[in-house]
Amino acid sequence: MIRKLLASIMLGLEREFGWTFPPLVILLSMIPATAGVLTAVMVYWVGASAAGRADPSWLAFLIVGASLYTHFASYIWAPLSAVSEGKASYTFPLVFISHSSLSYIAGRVVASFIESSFTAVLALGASTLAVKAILGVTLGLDITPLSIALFSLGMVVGLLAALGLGLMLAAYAIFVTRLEWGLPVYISGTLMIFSEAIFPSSALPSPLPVIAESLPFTHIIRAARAALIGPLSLYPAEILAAALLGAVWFLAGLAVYAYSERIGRRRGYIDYRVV
Amino acid sequence: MLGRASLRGRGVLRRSLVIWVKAAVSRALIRVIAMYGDPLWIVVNVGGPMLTSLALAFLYRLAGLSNLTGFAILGGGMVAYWGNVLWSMASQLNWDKRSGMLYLYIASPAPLTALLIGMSLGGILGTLPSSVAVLVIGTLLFKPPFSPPTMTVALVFMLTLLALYGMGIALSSLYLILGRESEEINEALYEPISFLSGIYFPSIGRLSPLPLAVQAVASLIPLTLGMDALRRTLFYAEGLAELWPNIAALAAMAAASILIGLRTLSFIERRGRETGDILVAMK
Repeated sequence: MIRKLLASIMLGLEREFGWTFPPLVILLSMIPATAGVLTAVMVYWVGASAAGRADPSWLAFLIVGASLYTHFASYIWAPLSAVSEGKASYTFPLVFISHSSLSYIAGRVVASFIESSFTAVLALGASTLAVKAILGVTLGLDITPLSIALFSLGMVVGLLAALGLGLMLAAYAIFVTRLEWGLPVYISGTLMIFSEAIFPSSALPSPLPVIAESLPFTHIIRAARAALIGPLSLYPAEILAAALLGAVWFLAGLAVYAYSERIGRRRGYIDYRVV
Repeated sequence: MLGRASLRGRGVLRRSLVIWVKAAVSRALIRVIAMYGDPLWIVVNVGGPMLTSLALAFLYRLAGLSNLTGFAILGGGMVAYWGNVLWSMASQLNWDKRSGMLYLYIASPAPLTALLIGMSLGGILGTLPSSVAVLVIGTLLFKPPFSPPTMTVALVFMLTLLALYGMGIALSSLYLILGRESEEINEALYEPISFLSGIYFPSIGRLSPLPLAVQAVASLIPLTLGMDALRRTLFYAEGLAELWPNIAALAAMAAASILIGLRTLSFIERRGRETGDILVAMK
């Protein structure tokens, strides 16, 4: 199992980084992520300045949340892409026959997580510098070994939740034969609204904040803000909630995927594709 | 003799023009039928722009000025076109090359320029439902105060699309000589251009938070001038008298980008036919 997982991670890393000079991959991913973060920052700044209530402390809130959001949004796609591309290239049926599909999907998620972690951290740094250069605002981020370790722990906890969501998307990819990218677009857009990426869930009309509370990503983003902006006392409760919800999502993802693979095998979807 | 040669020349020109128009209309129809004949395409295309614009509209509201939620809604309506230009125009010939369709295009008498113009027209008509859906849903949810639409809005909208799709034609000819990296370049271009062109916030002019040097660079992108003019006419009721510099610049950019795009494509096509490298398999 471990060897299969490592092989899949290597395969995923090769796919993510192997097509060109690896630092260029990171740069090409960092630029759009930073632009996405800065768009949210500028929207807030334009609106708040026009209303005469621009508050620089909100910028740190936005940058941390939006950077982590781009991190999740970019790697929850990995399982779906592993299955749909695998079906198109006949790799997935071979992976399935060798009883390696779970390790294959998990490995691809881990590889994508590694790439997007670099991207997210660099986007966080680049956005902080850009805000200082453009708006003249210095963000009060608390960058210490402890805060960085807590922030990283949040990302690792997020991996479990993203793997759960990713497995559900992979289950969907077994059956879908075209426009498979449509659902992840809706999911990442929904996460932008409900995960407190760019505004607190209290800004949503009732009862929508309940959805935000049930998402592990909301708690991971809150924990990351507690680590980098404060107050640190909020961190344990948020990371615990994120871990518990992440575990639930992971188990749900495993169950949905196992069920879908079984049904997919019986109905002939594993190697079914539209040319 | 001269008269007969001239007549024959005119006949050839007429036949070429008929082929060109037929090819362009056919390519446009493929796009339109594909989109309107399959509502799932519209549902799938609405998702990204709609949810992003709703999230940013919430952010405008949180920032304290509900009136500006319209900026986010308008951005959601226009970003669908920008996505279409990158993914369905710029990349199309590259994908056609990978799937083997480009061989057929090259072998057929249909000119590539007609196919690209047809693709642009089809793309504009095909993206319209997604764009309208985002505008309608956003307007119903946030009720931003739009000024009544005028002829200026229609003119600015058309010129913005012309310039944008002209950019798509220029990019498609460049992507033809690239491999897998074209998709990565698309990914890398989408967000930065969206940011610089101020799809969701004013990146140039009075309300822009960006430094003048960045605004100057942003003004070189047709979408920036188009979004600025659309915002000013739709939310501040400005007319031709105030917006003529944007309109003139957009018209010039549209003409220049289409011309450069078509010239580049003809050059690459001619070189490709001579050397055979246009059809070389992808890396």
